[in-house]
Amino acid sequence: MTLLLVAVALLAGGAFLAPPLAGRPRAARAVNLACTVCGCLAGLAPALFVLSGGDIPELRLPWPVPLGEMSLAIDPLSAFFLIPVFVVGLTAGVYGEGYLEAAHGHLPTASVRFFFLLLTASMALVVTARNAVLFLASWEVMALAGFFLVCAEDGDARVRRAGFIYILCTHAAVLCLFIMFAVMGSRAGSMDFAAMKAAMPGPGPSLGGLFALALVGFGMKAGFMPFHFWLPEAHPVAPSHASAAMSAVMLKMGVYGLLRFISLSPAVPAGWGVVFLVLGAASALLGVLFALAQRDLKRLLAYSSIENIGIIGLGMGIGALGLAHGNQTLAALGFAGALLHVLSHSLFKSLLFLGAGAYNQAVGSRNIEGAGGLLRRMPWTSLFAWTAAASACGLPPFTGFIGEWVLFRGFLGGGLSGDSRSIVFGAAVLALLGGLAAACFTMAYGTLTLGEPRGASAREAKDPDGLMLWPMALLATACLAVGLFPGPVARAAALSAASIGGLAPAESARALDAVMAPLALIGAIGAAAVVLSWLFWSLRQALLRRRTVALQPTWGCGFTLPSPAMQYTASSFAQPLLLVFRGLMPSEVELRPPVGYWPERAGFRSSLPDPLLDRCLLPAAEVVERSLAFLRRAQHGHLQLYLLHVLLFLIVLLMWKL
Amino acid sequence: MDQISQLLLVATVFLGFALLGSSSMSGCVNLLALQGYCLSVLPFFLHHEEHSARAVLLAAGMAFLKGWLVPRILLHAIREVRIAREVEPLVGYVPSLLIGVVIVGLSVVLGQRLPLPPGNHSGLLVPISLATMMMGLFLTVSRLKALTQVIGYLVFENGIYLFGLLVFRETPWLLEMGILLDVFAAVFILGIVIQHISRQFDSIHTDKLTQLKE
Repeated sequence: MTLLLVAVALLAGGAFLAPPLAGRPRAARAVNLACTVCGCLAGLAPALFVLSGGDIPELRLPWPVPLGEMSLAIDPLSAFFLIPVFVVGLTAGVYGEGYLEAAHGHLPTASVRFFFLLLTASMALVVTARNAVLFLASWEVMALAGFFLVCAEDGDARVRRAGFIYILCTHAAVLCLFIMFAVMGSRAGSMDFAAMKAAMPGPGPSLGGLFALALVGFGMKAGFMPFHFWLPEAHPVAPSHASAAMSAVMLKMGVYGLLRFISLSPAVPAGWGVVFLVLGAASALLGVLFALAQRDLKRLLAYSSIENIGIIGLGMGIGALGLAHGNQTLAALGFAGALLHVLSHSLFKSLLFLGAGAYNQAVGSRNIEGAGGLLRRMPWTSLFAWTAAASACGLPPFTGFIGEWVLFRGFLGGGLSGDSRSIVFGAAVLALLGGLAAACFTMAYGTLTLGEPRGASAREAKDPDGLMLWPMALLATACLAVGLFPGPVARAAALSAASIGGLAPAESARALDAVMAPLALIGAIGAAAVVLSWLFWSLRQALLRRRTVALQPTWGCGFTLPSPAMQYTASSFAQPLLLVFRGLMPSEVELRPPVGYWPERAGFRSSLPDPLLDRCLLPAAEVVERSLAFLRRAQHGHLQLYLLHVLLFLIVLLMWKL
Repeated sequence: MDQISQLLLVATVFLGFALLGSSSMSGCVNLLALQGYCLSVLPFFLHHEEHSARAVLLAAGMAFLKGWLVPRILLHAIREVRIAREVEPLVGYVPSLLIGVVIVGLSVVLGQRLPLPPGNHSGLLVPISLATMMMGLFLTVSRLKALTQVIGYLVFENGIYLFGLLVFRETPWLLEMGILLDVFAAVFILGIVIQHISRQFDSIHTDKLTQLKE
């Protein structure tokens, strides 16, 4: 526990050192790197200790805030979430140093450093807090640090708009959490989680109401589908390492909150499981479909985060159904699958965002259709991004496969043990998702890295320097290692899953072991595939050594004068799929077809506005704003009158209460 | 002893009235200084047995800050920024005095209805503290210049200090914090706001702040 405090203190200390050191770039950089690395490593130690079966006593310190107490504990659930917090904090933090340097002062360096470290420290507190006041305080610090990271480039009007949407959503979510904790706390007479758990209402409308509040509050942060709309706005505009931390870890705080809520509630009605399944399926399907329609790389990744949160939601749905029906195996599988996917997603999504940042800086634009041919120009970045993309598609032997495998087995198990609707529904959704995700990442990765450069900036792209490459290498290795050797991670997930539903750890571990057994074989096959491809590559090198190799442009196709514009684009790749699903996603097309035998100009442009944000919420907000325009008159600017309002209000208040 | 404390309290209110009716800037500052001195000696007479080091220090600090330092800074500011001597009220002097009377009446009514911690304190203390606060707020509302608003704020502060005397012994650090607020006001408001306003708008009229509105 001391180590965790040391970690938080180091991160926060590093944060507060960043602004005063802004004048001395070298010192600031060294301090920031040291604090990030030492802090995150110190924080990982207790998490790993707990996940390997250790036990750390709870820490309680007095805190003068009303009802607050510095009450921290690391149970397996907290420990499992601490791992992504610190792993991504470490890699993205180190990468961020390189990124800030490569940005050449386009970014407010000191404030990005400050808020990034603060974000990591506050997330570590969120998952370990055992007092609602402490939890909410850290939650709020996390949300605000995220806001300032989103608004790092606030000279751009789109960034300000994204920041505005983000802060509205995050505060709507916090409001729900305040109400929820206030209700729970007033029942318990204390803001302590343990006391709250003892005083939770039994199954009934009041428990359902609390669940609804938790679902909106935490679900908004996690990005489940009806509450997702802030995410594709906010994540693309933040600096890439901040997007990585937000997308890979901050969203998971919402998942953590929901799991913690389940662990606090005395009973889990089957309805919750169904709600999770439906929300998860909707988020996953629509998330990946919208991702397919995006041309902005980071926006695509943000929609893909919604998809993965949906997969986690499916897992939570199975887990909750298992708890509701008293089926321990099912519960363990569901929650463990969700947790494994939490870990996988945090690894590959942070890597994808870091890779996107490198591409972005090399090409100078986030539009994937402006790039191309980067595989040869940025080999290392492309290799790491490929690992991440393969993980994101759920291909063995990479990490994304493990969580989905456990979930598939969970769905099958659920179907065999009687809950047959869930198997049809969930397994079908998950299968469809795998295919769509593969299409999505093939499109994005292929357009970026294959073929010929479509612009001058892409032609001169180069790999970034070591400070940005090494963190990516670390994450890529982690993606592969977890996929090849899932044993320890699965055991940790089983332990955490057991602590959610109050299951016996041995039972949970046994359930997971049974499921994981074939994975050794799959891992071996995967490893063989990796080794085999390396062998083929070396063989090719060996065979070609003595011969002259002529390089031809890709997509030559026998044209005498091929141009990069003849290549397959992302839009054309995605179009058939989007045509199938156009009922779900009405895109706006601007088409100028070629006319005549020798057409002079032709054009095609399609865009997909977010149906919820652009078609419902923003128009509704406009109507509200117009109907409240008369209140603007109160904003007259006369200081004296403002003070008069205060004076009159105080007097009226005094007269009324006395 | 009680009579002296009553006398000081009444003097505080009368000084408040004088502030409402005074038309010269430096006169206002002098009245404020006088009110500060009155308040600084009040603790000795309010709590009979209280002559602890804390009370002495408190009184000395009050006298130094409210009686000497803050008025000096204010007078300095009047000279430096070359503020016209006229107060420029939004509400005339006579109506201001009449409103002051209403305020005092209102505070007596409110003071009687306010539940208080038990203790042997003067019956005038609460109404007068309320009246001083409201007069201060009224001064900030009804006067145009930034400097008069600072004076209004300081009068308001004095009211809060009076209220704090009620629980002087029960709550440690309350009054001291209040006095720190004065230092804050002296340094912050004068150093930054007045200079800033006069530089940006070539005037210290808060009316000009309307230009900042969206």
